[in-house]
Amino acid sequence: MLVTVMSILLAYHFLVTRDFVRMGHPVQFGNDRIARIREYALSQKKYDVVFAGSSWMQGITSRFIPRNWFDLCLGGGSALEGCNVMLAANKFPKVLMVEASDRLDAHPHFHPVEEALSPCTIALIKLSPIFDLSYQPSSVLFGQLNMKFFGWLPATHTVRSIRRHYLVWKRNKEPLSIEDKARVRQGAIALRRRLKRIRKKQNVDIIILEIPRDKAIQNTKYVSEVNKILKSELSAREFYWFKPEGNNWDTVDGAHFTKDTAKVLARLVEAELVKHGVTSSGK
Amino acid sequence: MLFNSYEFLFFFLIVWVLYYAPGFRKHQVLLLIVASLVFYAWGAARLTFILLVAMALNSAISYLVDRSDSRKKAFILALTGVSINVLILASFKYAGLLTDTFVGFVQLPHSSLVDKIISVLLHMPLPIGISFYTFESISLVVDVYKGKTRSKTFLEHAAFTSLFLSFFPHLIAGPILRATEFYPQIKTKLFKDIQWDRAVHFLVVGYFLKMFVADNLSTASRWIDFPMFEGNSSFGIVVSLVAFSARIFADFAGYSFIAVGLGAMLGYDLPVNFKTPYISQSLREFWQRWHITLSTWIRDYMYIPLGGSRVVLWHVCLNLIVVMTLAGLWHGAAWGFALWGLFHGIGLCLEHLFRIPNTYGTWTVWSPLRIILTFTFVTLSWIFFKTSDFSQISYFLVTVFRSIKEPFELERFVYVLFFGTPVLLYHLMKCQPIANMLASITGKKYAPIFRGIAYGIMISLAILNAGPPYEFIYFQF
Repeated sequence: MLVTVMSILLAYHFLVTRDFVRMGHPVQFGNDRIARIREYALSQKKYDVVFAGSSWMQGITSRFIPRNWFDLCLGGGSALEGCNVMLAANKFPKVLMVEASDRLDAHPHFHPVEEALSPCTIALIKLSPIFDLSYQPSSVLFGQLNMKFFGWLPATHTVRSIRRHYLVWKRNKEPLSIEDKARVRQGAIALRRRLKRIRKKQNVDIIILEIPRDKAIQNTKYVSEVNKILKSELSAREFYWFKPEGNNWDTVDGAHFTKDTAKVLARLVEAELVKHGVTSSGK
Repeated sequence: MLFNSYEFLFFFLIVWVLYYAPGFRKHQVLLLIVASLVFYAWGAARLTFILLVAMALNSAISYLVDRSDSRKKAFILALTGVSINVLILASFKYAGLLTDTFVGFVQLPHSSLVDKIISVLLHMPLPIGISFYTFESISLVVDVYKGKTRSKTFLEHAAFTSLFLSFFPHLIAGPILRATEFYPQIKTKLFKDIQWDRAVHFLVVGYFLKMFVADNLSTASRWIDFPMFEGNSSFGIVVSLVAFSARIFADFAGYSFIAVGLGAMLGYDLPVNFKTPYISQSLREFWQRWHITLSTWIRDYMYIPLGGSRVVLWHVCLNLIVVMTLAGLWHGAAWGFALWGLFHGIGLCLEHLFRIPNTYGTWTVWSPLRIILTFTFVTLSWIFFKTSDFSQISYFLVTVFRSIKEPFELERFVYVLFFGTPVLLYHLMKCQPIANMLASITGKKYAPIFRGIAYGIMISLAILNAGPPYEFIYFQF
């Protein structure tokens, strides 16, 4: 048994180090964000702009703004995790754009940073690249097959009016409950603390993005109450807020943008960053 | 603490080395109890108190039952013990569900006190593994009452009971132990007595199922969650449902196998909870192969006391439906779980009504068809298990039929095939004709070599291609 294990591991190590096996992107939900966290934390590369947010912003900037900017928006998480990654890696950009929304405590038990930057795993990766998620047999195989599991997901979906009606009904019927208010406030306070730490460590230009909401729910009491709390905890006197213009935002499910809307949002974000002194070459 | 985490690896190594160290031989039971409490407290320190209460309470009550001078007194004590256990389980697990249902039906007056009470009931913490150790506690009290278990002194009984309830390999998600099987095993263990074959087999297969199969399939099976299934084709939804079927087996059987393997490393023989359930030819056979320790617990402590199969047909059906619905609810505090149990109860009833024989382990020409039918039934039932909201279940079913014209998700199919094939092979190898064929090919002489190579491949795949480390699904129960 041990002979088999050693033979397989050594053979795979040989194939990887001799470039017979080409790396691919991890295909599992969860491993993709761990790979992204490691990519940011372990590489020597410095980034001028980093985006921190949830799945709502994930992929939007990296796909539609062809620059050397880093997308730390993590599906299943929020801007808090992105900030945690920067603090754990002690690596900061010149400009940090964070998504502010009611998802700030999306999963209180979600700790991808500890998982991604576990010293044992990092030591193993340094020992041999075969322990890197990009060299997992599934990453290599599906990379070769050129199957895009994480293509622009919403583009393949049809806009479901039922789902949107459900959301509108829910959001209108249920304004922010006392518990939700406390939840959003706690999330905003946690984000404020992290942003202050980041600013203290290095003079990072922080932009808070007021995430546009689906046109069907943007005027509901729920959304206005969420924004009110966020702005009271992350006050405009301390942080620069950016609200993308327009009110015709379309989403596939009440939260995630359609491809066309995402392109518009990416253009507006890019224009705003240029205003902040980020030049067209990404510098 | 997850079995597939570095913390657990270090924790287990330390405990294991100390356990067999000559200086600790006399204190092995105490060491295991302390280690189990540390293991439990790692994730939920505050809720360890509930486990400690259960340990103390059941030690005392079962001892008093055993030492009662009359049957009547013993009966009253046993009944009290069972009632307290049920009450603890109900308070922590079902208070939220019952309150939520009650508030939905009854218009309560608005006052801050009422709101506070409702809020407290709705947010009762759920101690991890409470369903498992409560069922074990109940079986202990009943078995002691029936005279199946005896201890010499209170101290010894308390130590045995504490270890029985808290033994860390099975604490979080079973297998559900019986005092009658576990207590006789509590004695000084020596390193030379370890059953290495059993330990290695269950550890390798368990970790492989969890890390390579279950954790990777979680990516594909999440598409049956609400509202994720909305944008999928019917084909994609069915593929995801099959993926969930394979995942829940790999996840739960994986955990149970690791528990058996760890138990063997510590010199304990824990019962095997899964015996290739997806080659069952009937639902009755399925429940003899799936979560065996739960189904035998339900059979012995609920189904048989209600009359079992020795009553008239309608009564058998009623028993099956009641017992299976309760078994469903045992899994989680949501009506969807009850519906899942009810679905299985109705299925078992139909098997009784149509006199479908339980052909456990026998093979006929109709076996493949019967396996496919049983697997389809079981896989469909996971919808209720996964989606606990009635409206979401009906919406799911509507979506399956409405999305027939949506384009196929070929990538997902290939992905599920890649990670689901081991589950298929695992089951196929246990089918009688294939098992016989494999035995004739490998022969007795070379079987250990083939087994060694298979274990090696499994370990390599678990190391090289582990999925994101998710919690075991059954941790929530």
